Amino acid sequence: MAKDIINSNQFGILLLFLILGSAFIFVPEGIAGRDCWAASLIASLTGLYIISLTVNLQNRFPGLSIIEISTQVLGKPLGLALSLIYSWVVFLVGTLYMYDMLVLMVIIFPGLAETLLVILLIAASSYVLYRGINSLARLGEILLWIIIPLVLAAITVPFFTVANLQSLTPILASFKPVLAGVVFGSNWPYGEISLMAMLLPFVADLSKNKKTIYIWFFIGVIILVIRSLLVVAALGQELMGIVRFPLYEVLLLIRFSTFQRIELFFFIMWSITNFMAIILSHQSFVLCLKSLFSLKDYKTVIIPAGLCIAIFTLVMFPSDIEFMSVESFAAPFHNLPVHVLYPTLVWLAARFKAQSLSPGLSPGKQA
Amino acid sequence: MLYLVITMVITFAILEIKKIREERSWKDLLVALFLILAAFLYSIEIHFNLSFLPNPNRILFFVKPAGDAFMKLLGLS
Repeated sequence: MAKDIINSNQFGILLLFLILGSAFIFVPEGIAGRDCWAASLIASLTGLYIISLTVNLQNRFPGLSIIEISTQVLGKPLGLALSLIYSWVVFLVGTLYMYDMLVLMVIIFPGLAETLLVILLIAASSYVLYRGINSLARLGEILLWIIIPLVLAAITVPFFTVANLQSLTPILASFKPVLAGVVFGSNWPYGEISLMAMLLPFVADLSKNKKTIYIWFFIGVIILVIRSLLVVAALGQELMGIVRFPLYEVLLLIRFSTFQRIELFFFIMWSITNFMAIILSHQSFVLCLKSLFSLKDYKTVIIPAGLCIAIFTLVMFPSDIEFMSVESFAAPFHNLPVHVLYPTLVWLAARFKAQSLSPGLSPGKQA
Repeated sequence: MLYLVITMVITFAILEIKKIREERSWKDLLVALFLILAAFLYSIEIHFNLSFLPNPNRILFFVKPAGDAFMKLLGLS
């Protein structure tokens, strides 16, 4: 059991990896044009809302997952139905992370076999999950020392070499694109933080050190806002709107004397953060299955769940053209309501139930 | 494709079947088998380039009109 306990700092680091792994190389709020940095900043409020809600809920029901809490406070039929929808969205997010990794890898290594890559990624992810959540958290702590210098280099070097800050003006000239950017950014990456709710029961010092989680979250937000500023300053809003991986394109522009392909130095950063996001979504999906079906041990379903994520990634997103025109536009309207409403409903039900039971006595204290 | 899936299933069997038998966690086995069956059927579809199973991404197509309406509302479509 001891190997399945983590602390708030480790949880915060994993949260940072989820934020960076899912969105650092992209600009999900790109529809906001030159004001995408503002959209990213406003959209981060959704992430803050989800974290505060799930942390608060977890403190009331220590040791229980959000799915178990929902069946307790909403009743079994409604709780299970909503949890099933939430688990589906967790699975979908896992396939989206896998697809993003696949597209990036194929762009950098065009001859790579997609089938082999997804299976290899899932095999590696399954190995990490078999080691336990504590090992995953320790892996995050170790990899952080590799990632932080690379992230700092990725956002500072282009600022002094290829950025043109005049591209950022006029600031907030039109609110409609910003609003659209906020909706897209609220879903990806900030709404997807709801995945981390499944890992919260494993945080031992949540009530004492929850502030650490918010600090790591704000570090993630700052990095993404600077990333958005940098991409607009270096590429301009028109080019940013048409390229698949905006930050990758920015790094392609860097030239130092005779040095070329500098972007490949950052390949390790993308592969590590994306891979960590895949592991975290895989872990969350496995924990969803455990809670939904009251399984004895989540490790039994690690390989089958991973296999499903791998195969369904290939089935669901057969072409990038279809993905960019349909799935990427539809996903916020499919996923965002679940990311926001599911924890909200569970939190509200828990609050009403606590009030109706006994004023001042929380369910956590009763247990 | 199929070979890779079969390799993963064999790995699962080696790692888990003994534990499942000892702990008699049949529900765990049932869920795992259901997931493996789903992955296996869809991998057959990919391997032989067939199309006999529903694609789950149709759910995203259902909500696409909402996305289109939102973009139209903001004059961004």
